[in-house]
Amino acid sequence: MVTNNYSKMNKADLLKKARGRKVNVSSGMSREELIKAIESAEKKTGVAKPKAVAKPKAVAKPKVVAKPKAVAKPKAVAKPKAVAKPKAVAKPKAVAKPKAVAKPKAVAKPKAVAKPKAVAKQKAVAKPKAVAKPKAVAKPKAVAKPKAVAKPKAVAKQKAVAKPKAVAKPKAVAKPKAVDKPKVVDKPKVVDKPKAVAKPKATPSISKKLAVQAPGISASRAEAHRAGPVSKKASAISKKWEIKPDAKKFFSQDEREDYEVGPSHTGSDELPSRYGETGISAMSKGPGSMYIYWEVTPERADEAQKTIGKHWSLVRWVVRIYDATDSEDTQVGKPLFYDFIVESGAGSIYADLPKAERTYMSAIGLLDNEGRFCPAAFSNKVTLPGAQVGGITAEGLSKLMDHTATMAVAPGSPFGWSLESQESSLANAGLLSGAGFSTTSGASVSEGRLWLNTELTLYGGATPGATIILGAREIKVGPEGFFTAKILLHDGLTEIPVRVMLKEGGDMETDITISREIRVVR
Amino acid sequence: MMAPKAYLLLLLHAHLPFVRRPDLKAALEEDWLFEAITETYLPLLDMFDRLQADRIPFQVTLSISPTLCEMLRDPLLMTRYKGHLERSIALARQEAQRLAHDQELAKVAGMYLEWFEKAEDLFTRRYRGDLLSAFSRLWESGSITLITTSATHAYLPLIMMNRRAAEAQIKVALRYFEGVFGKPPEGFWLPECGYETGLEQMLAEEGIRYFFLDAHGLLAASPKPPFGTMAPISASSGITAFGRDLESSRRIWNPQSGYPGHPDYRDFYRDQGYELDMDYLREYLEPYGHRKMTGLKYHRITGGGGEKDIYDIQAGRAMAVDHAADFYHSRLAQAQAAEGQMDRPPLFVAPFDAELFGHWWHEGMVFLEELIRKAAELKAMEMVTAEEYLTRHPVISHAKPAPSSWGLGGHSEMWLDDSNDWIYRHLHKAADRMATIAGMYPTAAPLTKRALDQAARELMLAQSSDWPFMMKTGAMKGYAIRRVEDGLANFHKLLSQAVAGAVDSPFLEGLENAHNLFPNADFTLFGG
Repeated sequence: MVTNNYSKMNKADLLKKARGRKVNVSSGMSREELIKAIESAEKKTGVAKPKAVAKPKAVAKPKVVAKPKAVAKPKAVAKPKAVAKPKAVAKPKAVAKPKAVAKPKAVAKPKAVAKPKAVAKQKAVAKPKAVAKPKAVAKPKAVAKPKAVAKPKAVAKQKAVAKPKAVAKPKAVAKPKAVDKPKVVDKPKVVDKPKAVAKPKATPSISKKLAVQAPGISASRAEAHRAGPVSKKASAISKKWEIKPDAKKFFSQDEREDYEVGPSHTGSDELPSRYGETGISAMSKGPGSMYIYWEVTPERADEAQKTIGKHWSLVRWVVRIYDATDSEDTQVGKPLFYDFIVESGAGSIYADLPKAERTYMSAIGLLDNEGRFCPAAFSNKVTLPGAQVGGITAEGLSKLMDHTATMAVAPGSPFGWSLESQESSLANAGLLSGAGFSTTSGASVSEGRLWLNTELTLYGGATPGATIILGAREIKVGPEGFFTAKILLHDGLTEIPVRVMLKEGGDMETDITISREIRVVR
Repeated sequence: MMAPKAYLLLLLHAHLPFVRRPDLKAALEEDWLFEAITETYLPLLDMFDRLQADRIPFQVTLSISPTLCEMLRDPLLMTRYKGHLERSIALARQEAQRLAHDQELAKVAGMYLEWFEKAEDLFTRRYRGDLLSAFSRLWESGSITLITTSATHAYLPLIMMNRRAAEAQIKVALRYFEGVFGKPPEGFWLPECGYETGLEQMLAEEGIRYFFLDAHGLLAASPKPPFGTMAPISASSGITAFGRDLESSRRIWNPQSGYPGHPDYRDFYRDQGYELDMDYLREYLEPYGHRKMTGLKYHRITGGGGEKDIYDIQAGRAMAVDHAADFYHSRLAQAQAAEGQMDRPPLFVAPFDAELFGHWWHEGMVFLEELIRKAAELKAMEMVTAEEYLTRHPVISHAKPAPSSWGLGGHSEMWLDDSNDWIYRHLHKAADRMATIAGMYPTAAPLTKRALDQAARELMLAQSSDWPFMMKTGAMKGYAIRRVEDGLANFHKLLSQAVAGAVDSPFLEGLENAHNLFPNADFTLFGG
């Protein structure tokens, strides 16, 4: 028997549900009254909501779940957000409990994916960004190759190709038209300069994402989405987006729920998924990366939609991130911003921005098919760190951590700093967290002790003007087409990812793995 | 007296999350505390006492988190610790008898028996169950300097969106510290070395003179400090920031070449609690009912991935002595490289988790003692505290520190990613609610105030950096999730009851009994 899970829904969700069912309710009604009203209306209309029951895909796709070696991350299938959404799961007890589908032992064991020799790879496989995306999981073909998943870069590539649906149709959104609604703050003319977002050197992963976007509109989907119904809705939106303004097809109030944003579930079974307050907050994660979360009440959503004056089928939710570095007042719309299209049900994103050491302010709002934006809420300001340490970039620093590579940096600095990756197995095992990063030895001999260090000279050739990204360092290929670099080696395996960015466009990638062992003879 | 060639500022940060469970007969998480007392805190005190008895001058900075302080002075936990120690001694004795005829293993088993018996002697007789007073006496003697950290070890960069939430963490910690040790600390340990612009101002406003950053907090400061991490900077408002020396930390933490991973050292993971027969362990495990760590670990790391060798006590100790010499001389080598470029001897700031020494790294305490003795003997590198350094050398560099942490990636990646990001929505909302309520009830009736103060405790407990860290590493993830959920659920319940004027007294008393920390917690600290 199908049972509705209204008793577990908060008041805001119940109100929304009731309005979706066209049940006559008011915000002054108690939860119990709302439940009663909805159930009564359902009895009258005989609503058993087959639609709600028929969304088991998130939890019932055994094929997707059963590819542990390829996906290697239980989170993608086990996330409570995905399965606990009241709308999607009509039988909460049967399917909503994460434990029922999580089975972490089946998929979570590092051994399933871990290449014992390469710690860095193991870590990279576990990266949420790479495998946690619903779409990637939903495409078994794309992720089924164990080899591909085991290599972080392969996953990254897959990420790039696996999400064409999220790409905004440039023509649909880029049309500059006069703005006549007072609250719609941004004119298409002030969208970000493409050059600013397409800088591949600063953050290559970002550039892939942004290179395909229309000016000011990122193709990036919310990365923090939980798996499951969200991706389905996303594709539905993409189709509806193409409907011309004069189309006669309209959507019922019930379907309109598909256009709402805000967390459908926030990772906890004990805490409310929503607080019934519109707001957006931003936090710095690290250089160039920001975590943004929000909630938009149905009332505020309606208000924004009325302000923009377009049918729901012609608008979509967007997180607009303004560069507020040189401005104290961004609310009136400033020239530089980045748009991240979000999907209904999403409550947060990680926004990778090409510029660090900048101050950003975010807004959640509706973007219509003519490029006009109506904000529903503005966030706090966040300044992203730059991490220019001894000439090493923020991204480089992060790569150093990930790849356990030892690289000499800032050769001209008085103390010869060099950075090294640092994640102690001890720190991982318990509560210790002081495993940051550190320098290599100052190589000297004193009091009868022997110091040994090894250095690798890497040299090669590429098209003149190309850029070689060697681990964390960027090296320009000289006019003769040659390059050379020295790398310090430490004990054990050193993995050096090499990426070549050709001047004329296009990338090439390879890895070098070197093992060092120094045996001390007493 | 000749000027030293270098200074070493050794800082040990002692912290454990609040894990008191009066509702259970025994809780696995309380073992974290018991193990750390036996393997780190008692040996550390013993070592300091021994150095003082030998008239060895030393200067060590010790950061003790308020949650750890609370647990170390909690009668229930200290009683339970004695019980834990007694069971450990009984098991070690049983093992010493069982292995008496095994030449190699008998030595190791004997070592543990001796170790546990000594811990009991130290705890019950020398320190009389009061470790904090022992640390306090050492502070008074000038050998160590005590500082503190945020109340529940909240990672401040991610909760300071609501400025009052971060301020409350700092204020509660400082008030508590002064209440316990009789005077305020001059320094502050930012949990996880987590720094964000604005924190220096908050600390300065509370009278803190100095704090610590990871290396890039200084190296990427603006303008770039001329001496890197080898000299502190003036951050603002008269507060000084010291930067971690990268090379010092690499010597310890590097997974390949870090000292604790040497094959001669004792292996932490291979514990007899998972190897011996359950029936044999029955008495020891009885309160828990399932397998767990016993502290009895008979093998050395060995390396190579094959069968592990039996631990050789002398070889392990010799290696620690060797590593201490290596650490000392490699700092001097660094100092030599900087010679002539600075107007003062270079300073090497070496902060570590205290629990690394003795607990995780069995021989770590030998390492520390040897390092201290070598510094006193050779005198080329002098141990200093931040206060001592600042009295000798004025800070000449003024710079704005860079946001940083000592976690993987150097920023907030450890505490903010796909595994744990969901908590912040709730933590921020709760802090906002607390601020609103604090504004509404500047003075509250006694019962309401009790409920709101307890709500503040519950919120601060949920803010601990340990929970997102554990969610990220996957270690005890479920427990970490539950701690955040329970803390916030308690918080909201108390707040709703207070606002409705219907405080559920038994519920409140239950929480006050279970989470009995910070008597000075004051909900109005969250208000504007």
